[in-house]
Formats: sequence, C-alpha cells, structure tokens
Amino acid sequence: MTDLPLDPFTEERLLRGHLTAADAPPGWAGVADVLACAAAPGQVHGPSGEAVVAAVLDAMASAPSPTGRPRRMISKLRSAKVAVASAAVLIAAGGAAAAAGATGNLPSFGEATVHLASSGSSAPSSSDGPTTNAKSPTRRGLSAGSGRSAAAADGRDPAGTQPGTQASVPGAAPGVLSNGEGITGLCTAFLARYDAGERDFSHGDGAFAELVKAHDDAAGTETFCAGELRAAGQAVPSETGGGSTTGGGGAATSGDQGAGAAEQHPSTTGQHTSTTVRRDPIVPAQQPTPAATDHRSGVLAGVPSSSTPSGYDGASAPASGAGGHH
Amino acid sequence: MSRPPVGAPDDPDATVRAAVRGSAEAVTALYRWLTPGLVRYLEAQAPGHGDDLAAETWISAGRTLAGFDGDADAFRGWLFTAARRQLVAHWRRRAARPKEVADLGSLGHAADRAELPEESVVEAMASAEAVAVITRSLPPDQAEVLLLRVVAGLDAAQVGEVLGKRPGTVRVVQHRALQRLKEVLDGTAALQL
Repeated sequence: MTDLPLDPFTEERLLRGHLTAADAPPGWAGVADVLACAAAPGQVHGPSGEAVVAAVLDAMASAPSPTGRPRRMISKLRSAKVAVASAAVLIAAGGAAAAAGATGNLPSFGEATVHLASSGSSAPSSSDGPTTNAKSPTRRGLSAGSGRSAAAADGRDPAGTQPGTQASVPGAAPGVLSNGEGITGLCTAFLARYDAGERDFSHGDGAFAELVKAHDDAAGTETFCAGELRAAGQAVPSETGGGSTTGGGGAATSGDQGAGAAEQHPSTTGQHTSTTVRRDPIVPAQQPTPAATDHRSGVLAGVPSSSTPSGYDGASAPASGAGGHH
Repeated sequence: MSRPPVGAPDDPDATVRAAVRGSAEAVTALYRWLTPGLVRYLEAQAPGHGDDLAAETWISAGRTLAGFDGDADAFRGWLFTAARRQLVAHWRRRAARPKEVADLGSLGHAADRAELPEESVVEAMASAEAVAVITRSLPPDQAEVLLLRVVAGLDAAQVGEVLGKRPGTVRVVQHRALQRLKEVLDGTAALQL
C-alpha cells in the first residue's frame, strides 16, 4: 500500500490528537501512535506539586500590582505633591476665613485669580499625566463654568460673559489651581467636607462654591472629585473604608475581574469623570522574564543575550487566539 | 489502583479566571492539568531539568498571574511562553543549547518517582519514550514545534507566539517534522545523533 501525503486538514487532526493510529492514513499509524503517547495526560504527584502550588500562591500574594513599580513610584510622588497642594488650599481657605472673621469682609476674588486648565488654553496641566489631560471634558466643564461664575461672583462681570477662563480662590496663593494637583487638592478638601456631611457650599468658601457651581450641585461635584482622585491614583475618602480591588467604587466600571488589575482612567465621554477598568493586555514586558522577575536566583540575571537560541524572540507575546487542543 | 481523573478542569476558562483572582483550588487544578505536558516539554528540551524548570515556570507565572486576562487556551500559551523563557535562561546558564537529547537515563528521570502508581510509571515511561523518539528523530527546531503542538496542545498561532515565528512558518516546520518522523519510524531515515 502506498503511503499518502498528509493534507493540511489531516495533519491538523493528527497533531490535535483527533486521529488515532487506526484511523490514520496508510503509513501514518506509527506517527499517530508516537504523537498519541507523547500527548497522553499525565499526573502530578507527591508533595513537590503541592509545594509548587503553595509557592505559586505565595508569589501571587507577594507580587506587585500589575501596573508595576514605576507607576507606584509616580503615584507616591503625585500623592506627596497632591498632599502639599491640598494643604496649601486648606491653609489658604482657613486664612481667608480667619481674615473674613476678623475684618467682616471676604477677601476679593480678584486678588488671587488663578488659572484652571481651560479648553484651548496652554494649561501646564496638559503635561502632568492623565489626571490633567487638557482634553478632559470634565476639566473643560469645570474651567468654563468656574471662569464664568467666578467673574460673576466677583461682581465685575455680572453677566458672566467675561471671556477669560479664570477661576478665583479667595485667599489662595496664585497658582494653586494652575495644574491638576491643585484641582486634585481642592477635590480632596471638598470630599473631606462632603463626607463630613456638609452639602451647602453656596456660601462661605468661594473655591468650593465655584466648584459646586461648575457641577450643578454638591452631588455632581462629589462625582467629579471622586473621578479626579481616582484618575490621580488617590484614594477616594468615601471608598477607602470598603473599597475592593475589583474596581468597585461606585463609578462606571467594566471588565471587573478583580485581582487588583484594574487601572482607572478618566473617561472622556461624560460631563463628570467616570472610570473604566482596563485590563492591561498581557504583553511581553509582563511576562515572567527571568532577568526581570526571578529574584530568587541571581543566576538568572545578567545573562548575555547573545546566546539566545535561534528562533527565540524575547518579544513574543503570549497567545490570545484560539487555543490548541489535545 | 485506580487512577484519579486527569485532564482539563470541567470549565477551564472559569478555572483560569478563578486562578487569576487567587483561588488556590483553581491554581491547583491548573497545575495538575498543565504540569505533565509542561514537564514533558521542558524535559525534552533540557534533559534532567524538566521538573525544576516547570516549577520555576509556575512560580514566575504566579508573580504575574494577577495581570493575566484571557481564556484557558490563552493561559496555556502564556504559560508555555513563560516556560520557554525559563528554558532560554537555562540554556544561557549552560552557555549553549545542549546538543544531546533525552537518553534512556533521562527517560527514566520522569518515571523514577517512588510515589508513582505502577500504571502511571508505565504511562510516564511511554510518554517519555514517545517524546524521546520525537527529539531523537528530529532537528531541535522541528522537535520543539512538534512538542509544543502535541504535548503542550498549542495551535500553530500560539506556537508561533511562543517561539517568535509566524504561524505559517510553524506549519511548514511541523509538516517537515511529521514527514521526517514518519521516515524515521519507517526506517528510511536515521535518528538524530
């Protein structure tokens, strides 16, 4: 009997184990036998398997967040800067209140006019990461509203038609709100007061009043500020008590599969910032490269790359398509 | 002695999702499902080191498992990609890819475990011998493609991703591998020595 060449379909069936030796084309029974034996299911035995599983679970528990260390460092730096900005806003607001109490007059809004990131303006915030994206409709809405209402509140432009997009923070040092950190700090302070039960921001502190005006009401401002803090990688006060790693924060979330893999980004689709949970694609950089991740053994690090076997591409991505079959 | 059922979990995709969330049971199920093939593949590529490399693969995968997003097939490809990186590191440590392939001594390595049931030893031997036939019959690149297709259960695209080759290239290599394996088994071609 003459042997038949394998057509691609039969070849695929053979490789997937769908073709037994008895069903194999003439001359291919031996190959089918070998492949079937090689693909036979095996067993994991003994304590060594349990130890490996335990080590895997330990590795999972001690693994850094999927976003990686650099982002965490950036977050830490940003946290420190936001804390400074928040303190500046609070101190300034407190100073303004003290001055108002002493003199009976609120300080002029115009004395501490600062820029908010505005649409079409060359706001410095545009280079300060995702939380200060100049394209953010949320920020645009805030700045436009603030600019109008600030001037109107100041009494210099009752119609609120002043073309400028400047907002005022009474008593605040100029520049406090000139970048994303400022607005994040203001939001931090606002949320602290909001969480304390305060809902009426229409009087008193002008910065909060402007913020609330820009977002219709305190609830809308709370949503906005929560989104700002999430986008800045900061904890939202109202969520820190019962927050989970699955992205549950009250904002719009999707792809919730937990494991702390959620990364929040400001949405560009709403008036107020919503958050989406993005699962980072598994890219080669996240693969457990020996030199990068295997810190248990120093021998894996610093190995020259020139000895990579032929055909190996370190940038190869893990599979995401249709799976193989036995 | 009865042999516990071995194979894929009832719902591999759900098992992978649970493992990503940190379920110990799911990780255990995945480990039991995929480790035999993983060890077989690694043992064929690095005789005598399959178990150790498989363990290192799992542990290193555990560090990034929380960031994995995909189904069971994707997970299998992801795991074998990690395994191949462990292999590459192993080869680098040894300064060169070994020319030798599994000999009878290393074949016994997979089966030489006191705790194995008798029939499992036989099966392990049979599997190891089959893998040895493949590795001794084929050039290393063809053997690796065939092992990833058959032992790991990856499709051509996944093998391509693991090896950094195009799926079409993988199909060409696997076709040549099958042809050569057939010739060796027919006695018309010599073993790779």
